Amino acid sequence: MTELAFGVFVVFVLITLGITVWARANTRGADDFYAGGRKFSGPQNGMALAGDYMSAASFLGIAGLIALSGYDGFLYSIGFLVAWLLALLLVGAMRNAGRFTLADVLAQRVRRQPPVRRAAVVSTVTVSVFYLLAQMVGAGALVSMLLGVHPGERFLGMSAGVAETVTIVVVGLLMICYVMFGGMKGTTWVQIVKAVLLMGGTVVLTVLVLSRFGFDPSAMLGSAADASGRGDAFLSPGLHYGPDVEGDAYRTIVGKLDFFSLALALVLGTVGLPHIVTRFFTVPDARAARTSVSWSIGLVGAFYLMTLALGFGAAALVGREEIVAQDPSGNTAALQLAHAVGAHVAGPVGGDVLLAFTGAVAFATILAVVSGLVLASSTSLAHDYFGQVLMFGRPRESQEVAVARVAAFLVGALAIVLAVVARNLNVAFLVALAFAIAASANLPAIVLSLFWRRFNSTGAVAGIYGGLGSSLVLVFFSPVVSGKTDPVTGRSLSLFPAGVDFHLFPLENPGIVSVPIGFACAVAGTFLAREKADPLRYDDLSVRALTGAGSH
Amino acid sequence: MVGGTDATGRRGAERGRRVPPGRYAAVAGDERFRRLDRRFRRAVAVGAVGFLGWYFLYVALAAFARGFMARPVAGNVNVAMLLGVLQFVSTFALAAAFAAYARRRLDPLADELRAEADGPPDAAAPAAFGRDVPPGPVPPARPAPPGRPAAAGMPRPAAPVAPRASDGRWDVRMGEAR
Repeated sequence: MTELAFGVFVVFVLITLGITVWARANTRGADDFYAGGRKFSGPQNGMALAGDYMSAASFLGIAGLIALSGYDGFLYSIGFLVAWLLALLLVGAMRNAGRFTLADVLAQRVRRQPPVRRAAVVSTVTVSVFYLLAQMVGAGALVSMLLGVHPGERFLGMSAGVAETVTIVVVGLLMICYVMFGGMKGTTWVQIVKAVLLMGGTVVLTVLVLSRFGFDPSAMLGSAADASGRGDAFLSPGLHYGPDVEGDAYRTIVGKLDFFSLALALVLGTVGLPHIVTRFFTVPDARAARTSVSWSIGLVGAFYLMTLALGFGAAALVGREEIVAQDPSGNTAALQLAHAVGAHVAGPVGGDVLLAFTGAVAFATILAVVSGLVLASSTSLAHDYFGQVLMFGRPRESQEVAVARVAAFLVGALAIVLAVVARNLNVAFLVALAFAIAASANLPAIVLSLFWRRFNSTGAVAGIYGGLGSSLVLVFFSPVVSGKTDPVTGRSLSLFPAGVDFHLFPLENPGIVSVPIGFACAVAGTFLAREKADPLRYDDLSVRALTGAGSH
Repeated sequence: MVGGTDATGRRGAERGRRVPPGRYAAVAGDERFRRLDRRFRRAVAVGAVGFLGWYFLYVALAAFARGFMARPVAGNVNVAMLLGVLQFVSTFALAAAFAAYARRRLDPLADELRAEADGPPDAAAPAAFGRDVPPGPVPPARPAPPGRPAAAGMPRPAAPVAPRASDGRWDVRMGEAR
């Protein structure tokens, strides 16, 4: 069976490598490498945005969360979708104002660009590396899960532990290859192919699941609630996020605040994610950028609606015990569901085929997302740091692109090493942390740059470092890093092993504190600096952002 | 004060000439641009407050009004499920509404102003790398429309200044960095 999954995945890899070769031959300069020549249409870029955004955490994680905690998984997914509205409101102005990166949007209107660019690079690389790490460790875990569905199976003669490391390295090498050689053109097409595969696979699974219930969602919900053993509570909020702890008002309120904090980071973070922002510049103009976000909203929305069928379907058709036996956090639910519905339609062979296909789609998902992240950080390092800071804004174009390729290799290699080291740690919190940093560090700078005439370089720098620093510090002293243990088994649920406990901050998600800190630092920095506002440059920026005059 | 077009003394300096900010000051003072700016700000504010409010209302209900959320509506579908699906519906609807608003009320004004500020796109010269500002023809010195309110507080050039063959970031680095 795993050989079959491997085969399907190899086909995907061969197709994407073909794309990469084509993209390499068609990449001539910086516009091609960083922005795909700005030739993608709105719908194409919309599919790539969706492919960039829907990570394995959405596909496997949310389906699993719904399968185990019911409604709360759905509640979680809504934040990821609604966030796109903010992107839609700002995308036109950001597309017009910027060139390749987030820093291009921010730096244009300030008097002193280098510090702003440096800050944007630091935050871009931090967000990307955290997110990368979570995805790559997930890829390693995925291969063990695929092996675990049939216990004792060996993968091409390797034990699960070795297979995990090998998977991380192979995924890492592939992503480096896509980005180094394919640049934005290659990465975009990889993401488009992935989006089509993911949507296609999800539609097939959803139809198969719903057909088991006579296409009656209510019947599916009822059967899921019955099988979950939680009854109607399974269909209502509260099993996972902000549970009501009997007789402990403090823990109840902390739990609820924590969920607010997560929701805030999700909703405000999306538009500050560097791999999403770089994608805004791959279309010819603001109108196409808006179209692409509209497409992305449609695709992401349809996808999360279908994860309802996946999650509740897994609860009803696979059952809680079997899911938890595979993976206590439920990440295997979608895979087990594919196996179950496939077997129902076409016997054991059907089950294996559908499982193999779903597993391959999950790998494709991870690959597309990590490539986007590596591309965003290498673009930022090469264009913002090397080109604009070190070379005073006048690098030779070929030089800058060469640096971008080297940077892609270095960031990718760093991610591989970190992921191999961290492969047995609880790093799932890093995705939420990446959103929190994007919301606290990048969003204040973006919004104030576009809308506040008085804003200046000190404010931008203070906002970025303030938001970034506060998120990192708060998370370091939060229960996700130390001091959270499973009440039943005593096993550590934190990054550090059980027994180490230096947590001071009760929430797992820093957003509710760090987003206001980010904004406050940006405003305070602006007023405290002895730097005068620059209304002329602000006028230039706002004319450019709103009308597209002089935009790239 | 930043400004002037003196060479920076480095190779390729002609690409890196300083540009005075205020290239679009005339456009920024134009009544039509102000209208566009007002409309855009209002649309963003209304849109953001609207969807964030509605989303956090839903999150608050999920956290604090669990009895209400558990109320059955039809079959096994309860209020929570209905509101969740409504979040999807409202997201699609708001996205469509903003896209339509932008097409109808923002884009025509933006197109008109851009055409006046940049000249016809086909006249654009090939871009030099490293520039923040893409090249284009020198915009015709459009006389300010009569009756244009003077920008308060800040003296502004009446028309786009200086040929735009320049690089916005140079002024910064050379002029005021450090």
